[in-house]
Amino acid sequence: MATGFSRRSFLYGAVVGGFASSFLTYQLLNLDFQGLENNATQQLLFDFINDNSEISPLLGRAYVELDLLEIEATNVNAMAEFVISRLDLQESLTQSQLADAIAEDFRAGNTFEVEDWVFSSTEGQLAALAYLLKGIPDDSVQQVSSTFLDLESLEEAELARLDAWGPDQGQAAQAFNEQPNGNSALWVKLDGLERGGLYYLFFEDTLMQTTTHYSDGLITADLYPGQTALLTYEEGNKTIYLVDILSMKKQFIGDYRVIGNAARPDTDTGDTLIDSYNAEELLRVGNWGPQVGAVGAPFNPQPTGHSALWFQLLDYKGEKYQVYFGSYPMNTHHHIDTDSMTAGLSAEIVKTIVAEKAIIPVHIVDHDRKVRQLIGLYTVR
Amino acid sequence: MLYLEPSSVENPFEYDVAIYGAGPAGITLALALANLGVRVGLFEAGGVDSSMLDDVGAGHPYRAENTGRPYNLAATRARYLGGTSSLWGGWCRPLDSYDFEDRPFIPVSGWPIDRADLDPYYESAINVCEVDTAGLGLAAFEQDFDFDQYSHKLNENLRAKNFLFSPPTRFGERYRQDLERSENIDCILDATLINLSEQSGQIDFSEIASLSGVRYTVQARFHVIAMGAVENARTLLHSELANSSGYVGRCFSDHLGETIGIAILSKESNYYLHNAGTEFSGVRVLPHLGFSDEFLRSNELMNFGLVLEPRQSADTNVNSLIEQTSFLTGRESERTTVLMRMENAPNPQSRVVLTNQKDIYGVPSVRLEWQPSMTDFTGIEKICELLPRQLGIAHGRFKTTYENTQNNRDTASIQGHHMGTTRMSMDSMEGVVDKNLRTHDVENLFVAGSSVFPVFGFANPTLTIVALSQRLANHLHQQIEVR
Repeated sequence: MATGFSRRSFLYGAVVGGFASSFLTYQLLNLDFQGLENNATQQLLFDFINDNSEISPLLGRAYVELDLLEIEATNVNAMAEFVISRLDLQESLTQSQLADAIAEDFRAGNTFEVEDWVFSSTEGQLAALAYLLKGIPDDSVQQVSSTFLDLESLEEAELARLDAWGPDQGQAAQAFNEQPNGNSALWVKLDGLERGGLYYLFFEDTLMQTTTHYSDGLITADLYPGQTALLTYEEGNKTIYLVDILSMKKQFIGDYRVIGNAARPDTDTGDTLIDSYNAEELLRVGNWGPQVGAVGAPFNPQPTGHSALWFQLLDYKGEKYQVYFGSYPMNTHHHIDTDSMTAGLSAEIVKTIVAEKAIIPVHIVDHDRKVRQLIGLYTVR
Repeated sequence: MLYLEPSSVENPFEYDVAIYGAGPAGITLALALANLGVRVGLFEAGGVDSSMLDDVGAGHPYRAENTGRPYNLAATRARYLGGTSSLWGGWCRPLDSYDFEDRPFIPVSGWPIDRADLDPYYESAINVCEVDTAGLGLAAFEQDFDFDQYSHKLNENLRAKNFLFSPPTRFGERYRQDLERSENIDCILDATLINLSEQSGQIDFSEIASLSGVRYTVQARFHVIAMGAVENARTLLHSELANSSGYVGRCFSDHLGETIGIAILSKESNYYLHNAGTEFSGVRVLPHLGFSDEFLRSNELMNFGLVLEPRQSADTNVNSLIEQTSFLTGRESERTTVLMRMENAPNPQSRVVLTNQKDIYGVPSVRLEWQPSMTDFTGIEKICELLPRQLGIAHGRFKTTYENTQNNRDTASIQGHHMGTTRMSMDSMEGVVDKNLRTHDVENLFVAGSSVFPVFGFANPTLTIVALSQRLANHLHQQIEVR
């Protein structure tokens, strides 16, 4: 059976990104990871989580869709519980044993298909768990859920002795220590980092894509371009924390200093608008997208030729606002039945905007109250 | 002795055994009989090379119509000393035990002999075909020649099925001197069999014609036609012999070749890569990947062998995805295109028939109606359904690209292996010759060559043709001694 990806599956991602991760973290925390640092199942899971390729979205999403059909789409906890119940994360497996376990899936017929390729259930379960943990909003953007952990509630501790870290400052809405893929990267050098921990760096309250090199005592972590722009939009100090989600402890690494403010294009309404961060929040947006696109490529093109943005809303009560893409008002539709909002812009305008690298603010505007709220930044790269 | 024309033959044309056709089957049989002290006449329609018939034109004996699936008969036959060994690529492999079995899902399947009956003759056929087996003999075809750290036995259901290589032996060149020197052989060129005359269930004599217009008759205790699957059928149909079953000319077959998919394999499987597998320890080996006899039997599958060609580029994101998952499980991987060599089911509707046209000797020309059966193509589909799981057990992946469409059925490549038109059978109503290659209907008329194969396996036929000729020589020698 070939697997196509529908709008429904994309909504899974949006919902999962908002709610599932804390539950999954809870599940992971209940596992005894101590002494299992060589566990290949865990390693493959973490590799899936840290890998920036399309493995976990494609494979994981397909597995979720195929294997969890009996579970309500909105019951994310049940989905995650189902996946975890299929995985024996406690079992200590060598890499070779894991490969044999995958082979055994094939022998037993525990397989599923993606684009006519056949995968083992073990691979699917690991990818699905990684997919649920990461919360993949759409095909082009991988966004780590900000509700992954409540950073404030964690106990402060010295997880390891801090030797050095960097970079510790940069310009507003600009990439820092830019990687070939456009991500911004931090590095932290530590002494005495214990194996068996599951470490993540947090930039403010945002979990970074983190890789731990135990042998060097080095932790590296990435932010996607859209995240970088949004998190460094305003000048000031941004906290950097190291968190071990297994011991639920955090260690303050330092402050990243944002120099200057990002330019804020007018929303060109003819009104003087108040930014919502100086007033009340208009809407709670669980997720939105797409957030990244290539130079010259219209985002999310529709059959009409328009480009469209989607917004998954929280506690939506039917308020009506207009979405602005940079200074361009978008044709905005509200869907109270699905707690969502969509907004379209003509192909001609989009073509002009995405003609070169840029970071475009996306706002919603309440014209009656003359308030605008920054939703996020669309990155053209 | 070798005679370029019949007029130079001093002896009367009387032999213990008259063999018509000096290809691998005929030459092997003649030399084996001669070594046993049997007096042999070997009649070859062509000359020492292909030039003799160059100027014949419209009446060319090989002129043939084709009303079935496209088939290039002209390019796959050779009418001169050595026969189609002159066109041979040298591929050698015995048939598998499974090929000899009666399989209910293949109509009229099963040989009246089994693999063990042929094993001693395969051993000598290896020598005749000059196959280097590193001293292993027949065992070399199942031998693990991969001496690095990996075992190529990927799982219990998969097997290496080796092809080994002849130089290739051009039988006309390689054995010409032996034919010339043998006192027991008259090898006569430009000698076309135009009729077999039967009386009271015996061949009384044969009629031979030459391009120069000379015609003469040959008498022998035993007559053996060894002219290839088209000409053997043509001769029996024209002579109205040995066809009480109606099978003469039917079940014409050839091996199909298909590209069936993409595989991504772990390093253990590199053994099966086409470019990597051609030489191990100095022996030319091309391992094919196939299913074990047990697995083929339990799943009612046609026999096949897979060749894996390295593939340069990934086609889809999923390809790279699989490679990365392979990487994540600590295994290097290789992208390959998967080619299948496959046996076909005997199809009575695929046949050689006579036409009203006659060649320069007055013998009716043939029309070929080459029709693979649907069993062949559904067989490919079934194998493609089973491969993902079996390669998955072996830490690999397989995705089929094969579609059983009319266009694909029409364009499947052929190998030029003509087989099946005088099939061997236990029951005289299901074939033309018995287990000793004697025609069911005519006591002293035998057939040699791949036209006697009742089912075909996926191996190239030459080694089996030579083995069957060795076995026939043994049988005829015994018959002569008894008489």
